[in-house]
Amino acid sequence: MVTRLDNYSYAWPDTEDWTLREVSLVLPQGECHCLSGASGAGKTTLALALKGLLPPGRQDGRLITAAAPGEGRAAVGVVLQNPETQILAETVGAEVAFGLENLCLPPGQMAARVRAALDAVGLELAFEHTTSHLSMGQKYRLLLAAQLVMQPALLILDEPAGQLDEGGLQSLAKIIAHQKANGLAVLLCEHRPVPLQAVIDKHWHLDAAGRLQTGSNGKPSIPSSQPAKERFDNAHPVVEVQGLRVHADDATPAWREVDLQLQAGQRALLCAPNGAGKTTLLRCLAGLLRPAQGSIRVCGQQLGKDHVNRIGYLFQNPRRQLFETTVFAEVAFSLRRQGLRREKLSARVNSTLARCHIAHLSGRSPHQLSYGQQHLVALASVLAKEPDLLLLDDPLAGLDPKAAAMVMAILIETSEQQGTTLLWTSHHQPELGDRNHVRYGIEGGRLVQY
Amino acid sequence: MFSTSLRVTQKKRQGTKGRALISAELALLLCFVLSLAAIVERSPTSLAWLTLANVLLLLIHRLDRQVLKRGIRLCLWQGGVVTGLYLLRYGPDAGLMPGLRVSWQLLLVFLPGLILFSGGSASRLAQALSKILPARSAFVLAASLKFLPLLVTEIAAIHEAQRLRGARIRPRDLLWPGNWGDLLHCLVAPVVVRVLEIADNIACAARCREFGRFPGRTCWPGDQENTP
Amino acid sequence: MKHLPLKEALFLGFCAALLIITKAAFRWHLGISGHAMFFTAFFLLLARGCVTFRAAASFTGLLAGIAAALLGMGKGGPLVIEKFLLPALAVDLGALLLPWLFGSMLLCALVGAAAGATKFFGTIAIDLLVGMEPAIAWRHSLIEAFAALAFGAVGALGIPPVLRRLRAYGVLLPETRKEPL
Repeated sequence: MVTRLDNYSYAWPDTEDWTLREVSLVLPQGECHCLSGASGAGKTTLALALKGLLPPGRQDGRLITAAAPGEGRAAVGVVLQNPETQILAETVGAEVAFGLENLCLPPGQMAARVRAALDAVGLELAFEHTTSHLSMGQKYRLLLAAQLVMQPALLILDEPAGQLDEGGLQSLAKIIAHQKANGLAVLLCEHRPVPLQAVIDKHWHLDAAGRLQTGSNGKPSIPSSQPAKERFDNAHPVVEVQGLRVHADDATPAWREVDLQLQAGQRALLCAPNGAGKTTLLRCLAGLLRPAQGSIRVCGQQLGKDHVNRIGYLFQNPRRQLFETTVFAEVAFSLRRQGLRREKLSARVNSTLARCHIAHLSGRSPHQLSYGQQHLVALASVLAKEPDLLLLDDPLAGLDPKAAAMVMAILIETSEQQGTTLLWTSHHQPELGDRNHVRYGIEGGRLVQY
Repeated sequence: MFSTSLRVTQKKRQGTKGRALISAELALLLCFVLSLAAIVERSPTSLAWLTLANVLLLLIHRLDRQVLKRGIRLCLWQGGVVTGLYLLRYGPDAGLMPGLRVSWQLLLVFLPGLILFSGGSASRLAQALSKILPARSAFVLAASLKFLPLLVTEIAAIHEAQRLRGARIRPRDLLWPGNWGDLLHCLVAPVVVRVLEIADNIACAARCREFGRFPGRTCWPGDQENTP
Repeated sequence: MKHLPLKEALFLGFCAALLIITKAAFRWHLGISGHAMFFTAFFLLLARGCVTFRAAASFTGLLAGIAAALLGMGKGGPLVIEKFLLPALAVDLGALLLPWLFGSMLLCALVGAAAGATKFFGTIAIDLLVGMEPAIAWRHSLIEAFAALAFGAVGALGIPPVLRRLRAYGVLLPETRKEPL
């Protein structure tokens, strides 16, 4: 037995509700447990509680973690969600050694432990290799090494599937299997556990009230849906891209040249691994990146600044788009800039909020909402202007299955009822049933249709 | 223009990293000693020796020529102002030599820093400073420099996102004062929120790796691995 | 620093880093002496307004100065630190003496101007140390400080609207949320 929680409850300072309620959990050595739950249910809070990093709030119950025997060891290791803000040093060696510095390990003992940790995650890189030029998969393994170097008894991984593509998840599964064999306990906080199913020994589920229950095997219930049947003629495409290339200074995508045509009301998914250039393509279509060659026509005209009102863009991180003090004002902003009159504006905003199931949040500050709610607010703010073309950069990233299904339903309704053309990207295959009319990938430096 | 200008600054800075021939600790010490000497010494002989020392440093230390040129331009402008003031007050006969001497001295005060600090890796120097500064301050300084490119990327992304929504924050939009509200509300405020968030994430990541558990920290000896 | 949580310390570090990068970005385009005080005053006041720590601006100024020295900016090597530290001290002093500072554009402009005016003291100190005639040093420092004072005042005007927004967002937390260690 390594770590246990006995009827543990926690409420953040200055909040009335308990985030975790009477959670009882045992994490034995050599096992991998998976904790799922909706966004905002408290998975990260539980991870921070196990690490001992929660600020003093209201607490009840008991938390027992194993003491870390020996010099330069930590009882619990945690890899959080965003690798970009966790890589703290400029070189691989310094990055992995950061924890050892904090544990005051003598410098003479560091190199051997750092090399052993890098070997454990399969990163055969020199210590002086810079961290800025690593792929996402390599960065994640580097962060794993930075935790394993402290020889923890329990390793917590917070939503790894949100960061990694299929290849990265397979590597992670191998590492977890190996570390389990060495006696490490692993806790995955993940609402998409299917890719790591082979290494998971037990499932738990945290509900919206903060209570822990034994979970299922994690396969989401795919809503029964008919595949998209509509046929489209090529007579009047909404998007026409021919011979698109970008400058190497701006980006180095996996594609060399893109040709693409999308019709009104068509839904298209571009599925490719991390770093393939999905965001680069979307940015070109939105007019944010000037291509080196080729032409982009939207609604029959060359892409220019007049297309701001015809194109909607949902960024991968919705917080980048939020700046108003209320949800209503956030959604209304673009419409005000379009010059819509007050009555029409108000009606359009309210109907968009209702369509996105966030009418009850109208007066709230967007910055105090959960991640899933912020996502819906950002989506509503983009849908409100009724664009002809909607570009969505990994719109389901970080969302739990229920929230992801809600977002997909809104997008499908938008394309069917308003004839909006959708192009969205993802680094893994959707698990919600394929409601797209066309799917693209990147092969041989070109966009290919499946 | 804003995001392009910031990215150009980043790229130029990234392109100037190279191996300096003087260690970071020696650079700090030399800079301190030479600048102090230029303040204290006034005789032409001493200033000539200091000039020679700076020329030697210029020859042996790999430096960023662009930064050096800019810095010298600033010093020369300052020297011109000072000499001009001496000439105005004392006339050409009595004012020229003292004005030139003071300007020369001011140049020698600032030149060692320009030479020694413009060519090296900022992180290398930060690492040297970490031996003097408290652990937390050294980490904050190093993290601020390390994550500067991420901040610039985030600012550019927020700028793009808000422009797409109709915010009037392009450089030509900002020539009109009526659009300055958009700059503050649509760009500056969300950037500050994002910076707070990034700071929170980094602090959490550092504490997840036991930062702050003990009052002191040891130091990674360096990236050179002894291969058998 | 003992009572400054790591998150807030990092935020101040980023204010320092952003101050440096905006100074670098706009240097070539404006070319007006003293214009950098626009950004210096803004970011120092932002740091002090967002983080309720008495020496927040001073800490930011110190970090900005060290970062500027490390990045080879300005003309002074380590001496560039005083360019940021003196205005920062002025901001902290202003925040200490004027509790309503961050709600008033006029008070912010006054403190911003005071921050810009510190350039006079930094310049005259070096000038007198190298043996410049006091009367010349005085005039030289006034020339350097005049534009800095004006730009500092203008740069500070944007602070109250930004802080009002941040409070409306609910992202500026009260001091009760402390780190566990």
